[in-house]
Amino acid sequence: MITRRNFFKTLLAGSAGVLSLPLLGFYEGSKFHFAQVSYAGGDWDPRPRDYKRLMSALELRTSVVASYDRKVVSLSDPDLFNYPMLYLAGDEAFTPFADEDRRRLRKFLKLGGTLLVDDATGSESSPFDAQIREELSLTIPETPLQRLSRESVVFKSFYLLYSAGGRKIISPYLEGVTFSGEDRTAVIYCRNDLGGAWAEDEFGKWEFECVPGGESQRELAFRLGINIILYALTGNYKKDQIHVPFIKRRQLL
Amino acid sequence: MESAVSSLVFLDPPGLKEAAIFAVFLAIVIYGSVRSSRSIESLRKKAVILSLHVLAFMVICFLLLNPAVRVDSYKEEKRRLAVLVDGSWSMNLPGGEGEGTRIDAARNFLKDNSGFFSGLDDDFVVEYYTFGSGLTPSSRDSVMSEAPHDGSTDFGRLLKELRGKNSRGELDEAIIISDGGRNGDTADEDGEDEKSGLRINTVGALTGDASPDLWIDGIKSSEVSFLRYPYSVRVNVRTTGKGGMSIPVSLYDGDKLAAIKEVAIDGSSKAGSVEFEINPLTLGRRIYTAVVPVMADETITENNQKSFYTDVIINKIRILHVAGSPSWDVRFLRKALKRNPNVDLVSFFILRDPTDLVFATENELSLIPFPVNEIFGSELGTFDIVIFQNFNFQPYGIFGFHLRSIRDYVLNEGGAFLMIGGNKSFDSGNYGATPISEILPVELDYIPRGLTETINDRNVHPKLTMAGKNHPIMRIFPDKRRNEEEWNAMPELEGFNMVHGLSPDAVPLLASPDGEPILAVAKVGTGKAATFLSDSSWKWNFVRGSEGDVSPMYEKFWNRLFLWFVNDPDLNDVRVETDKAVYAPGEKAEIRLWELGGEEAAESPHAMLVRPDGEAERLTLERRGDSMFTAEIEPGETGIYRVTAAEDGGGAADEEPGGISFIVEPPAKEVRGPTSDEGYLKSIASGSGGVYVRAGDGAGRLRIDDSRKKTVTGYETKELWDSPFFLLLILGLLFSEWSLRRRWGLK
Repeated sequence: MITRRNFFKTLLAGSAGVLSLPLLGFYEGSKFHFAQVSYAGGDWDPRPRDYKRLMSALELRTSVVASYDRKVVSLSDPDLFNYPMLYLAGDEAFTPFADEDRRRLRKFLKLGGTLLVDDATGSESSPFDAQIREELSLTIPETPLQRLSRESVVFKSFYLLYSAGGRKIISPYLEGVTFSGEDRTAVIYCRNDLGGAWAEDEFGKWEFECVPGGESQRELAFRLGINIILYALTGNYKKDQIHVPFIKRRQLL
Repeated sequence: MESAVSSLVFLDPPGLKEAAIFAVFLAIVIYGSVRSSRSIESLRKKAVILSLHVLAFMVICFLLLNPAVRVDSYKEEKRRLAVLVDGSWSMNLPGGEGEGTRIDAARNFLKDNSGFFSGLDDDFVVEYYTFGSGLTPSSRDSVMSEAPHDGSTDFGRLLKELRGKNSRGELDEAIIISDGGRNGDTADEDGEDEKSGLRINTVGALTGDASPDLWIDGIKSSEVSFLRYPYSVRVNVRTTGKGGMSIPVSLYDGDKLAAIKEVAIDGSSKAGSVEFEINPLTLGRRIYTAVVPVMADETITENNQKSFYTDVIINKIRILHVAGSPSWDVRFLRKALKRNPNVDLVSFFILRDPTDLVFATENELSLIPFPVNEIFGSELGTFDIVIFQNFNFQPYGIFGFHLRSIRDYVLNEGGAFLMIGGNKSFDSGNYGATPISEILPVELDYIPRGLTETINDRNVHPKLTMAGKNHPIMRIFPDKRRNEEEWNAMPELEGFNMVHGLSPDAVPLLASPDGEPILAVAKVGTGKAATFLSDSSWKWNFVRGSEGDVSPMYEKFWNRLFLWFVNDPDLNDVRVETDKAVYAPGEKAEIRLWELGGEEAAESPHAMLVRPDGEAERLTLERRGDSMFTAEIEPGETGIYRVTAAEDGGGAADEEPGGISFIVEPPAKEVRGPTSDEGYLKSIASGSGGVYVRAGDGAGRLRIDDSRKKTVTGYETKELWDSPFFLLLILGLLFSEWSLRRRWGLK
């Protein structure tokens, strides 16, 4: 029996199919996949629908070809290295990573991978925050998490940003692990529950309010998400000399 | 023959002081004599007494000077005569009106006057020399047979050496046979030195008056230049003919005419210069030749052209990287390019399509305009390689003329173009109907098609093709088996762009198991092009890197492709060098080969020499070490030679083996102008008391002193002071004076 809800669902799915017709034949190598890290203990997926609107925004706003198919991988997954950017979120403490997982994560980061860590608790101090800091210090002991300056390319890889958005503003800045030899930030850590700002329910309504900034704060969360993905995909491209005068002029406005 | 001559010498000759003392004593003697004989009336008697006193005093003084008889012994011998023949390269030039060369004229002079020269042996010790930059002992036979090859003529040094020999008694007469051309004087000498005693006769090895000559007087170039960096070359032209006219100067790049320009010859200085701009488009040694036309009545044509070389090196490979959208493939290729210190990278990534909605003002974005006209116009020629990675030109104001610029940049300017796959590349980017399709190594469809027809989303494991197995781009490891194993172990590619096959000159290096091309390269016009028909090569870095140690394959592969694009010699397994870039005809040239293929390159290399006339010969190589081989040649013919090398095992079919070119040409100084000076030869002869004759005039007029030379062989000295004659003479004088005084009544 066709209910009104099923009818609209089918209509929506059909529309999505038509809209995605140009994507037919886009082979996987061209696409950006949202790959999320699963782990034991705790909740590795506190915002199960966060990636959908982010991928949609990425498709709509940039030339990146995004996949709407989320990939979930564990650190021991043989598929891990098929996704050079990983999203790791959580809102509670989790089982410490195995040594082998830490070794794989370290290799992933050293080879050029990027890890976005999102603390979904929205609180000043959280068990997740303490645990992930511990894990990162064990994984990359030689390079601690440090606050990213406003000059970091993460803040200008697409949008010109001056602070970090999210569902809550626990910290207006980002932290990261930057390999000085390569001038590359391999780990980006946000305390503001980015996923919470991106998440929508199955009817397309926002799952959470963004406080205290409301929708403009949510927009900043999307912009930051896009910037982080563009940074992972282009590296320090925006640091090339040709961009510098343009960006400086706009930052002064 | 021995003889002797005696002479009186004083062993203790008086000095000034002794002479003064003698004068004082003489005055005293005269005074005493006059005083003692004043009582005598007769002046005659007074004079006799005075004469006896003075004579006795003089005899005593004579003995005090220690007189002696010196007997010198002499030996008479033949005088020494040098026949000096000009051995500089200009003697190979025509002599004037006659058919032969200047050295022919010199040899004919010696041959035609053989009676004169053999007659010289009776009266002289005759020595033969050749001269040029220095004086070299020779023989008549050598002079008659050996080709003149000295690179300069230093008359100043020659005359200085001859006078040195003369002062040491080693030379008395000289006959110089030369064209009189001088170009390397290191001593300020001239022929006007008759006092030295060395007589020099000169013979002009010229059969006629110097005809008008037009020549390239010099070329100011750079022996080292940078790839794709234009630089100026100045060609100086001179003439002995009329000035005040324009002469065309042609510049050849190898054997291909590159440019023609006119040079204005000044009426008074009879010289002019013209500048050419050279833009080296390939690495390695480039050889150019400047040529001026041969004038009517011009007999010396060897100096109407001059070759020069420049060794083209690369500072950094300048790469323009244009990507249609950010992707992992873009990211990892950029990372590889940035990690290469020899790459100067300029990137343009399309971060936003025209249809994208950014929900922000321009000032909230870090995006910059895509400077299409600059990068595909004025700046295009500054890049060594242009990469289109998953880039569709259509939405960005790139028109046909921009793409034509890229095509012409590859075809005519030695540029390199690489297209990397993706959903915006090849047929998916509608390049089939654009000028780009003319340079790609793959065939595209003229009619735009949908993505489903242009993209194959099947995962493929590409294999090295037969050409790929031997191609330098793909030889990451010297060991062929290991190299193939490493390539087979690379991760699968996620889909690829479909094309209509390869273009006629393309060389496939990687293909899918079904034979569809994945990587193909081609030489197009003066440039090169390559296509990589997938956008997932990044997995060769990231995924392959996760398996054990970090794989060097990904970065090495791309870097080797870029080296191939710029013809970098480092990509060749065999490298060739010569000890010099320019040789004189007949000079030994050493060819050196280095085998760089590592331990596995077991096959010995071979080298081919291609002569200026196109004739090729295989060189015999001698092993000089583990990886070095040498060969020696003596090129006689002037022109441009090329040595190429390859392993016997054979390389890729489309690849030119490693090689190097070199120039064989007359020494520059010896062909700058007519290089003959009859007036100078005349001045040498007249200045030293000799005679100048032309080679055709005969040797009869030469002025030569055939008297024998006396050489002192020894001497004997006999002292006279103890001779009884002088004792008796003094006693006789004193007794006469005593007896006369007594007789004339004096005390």
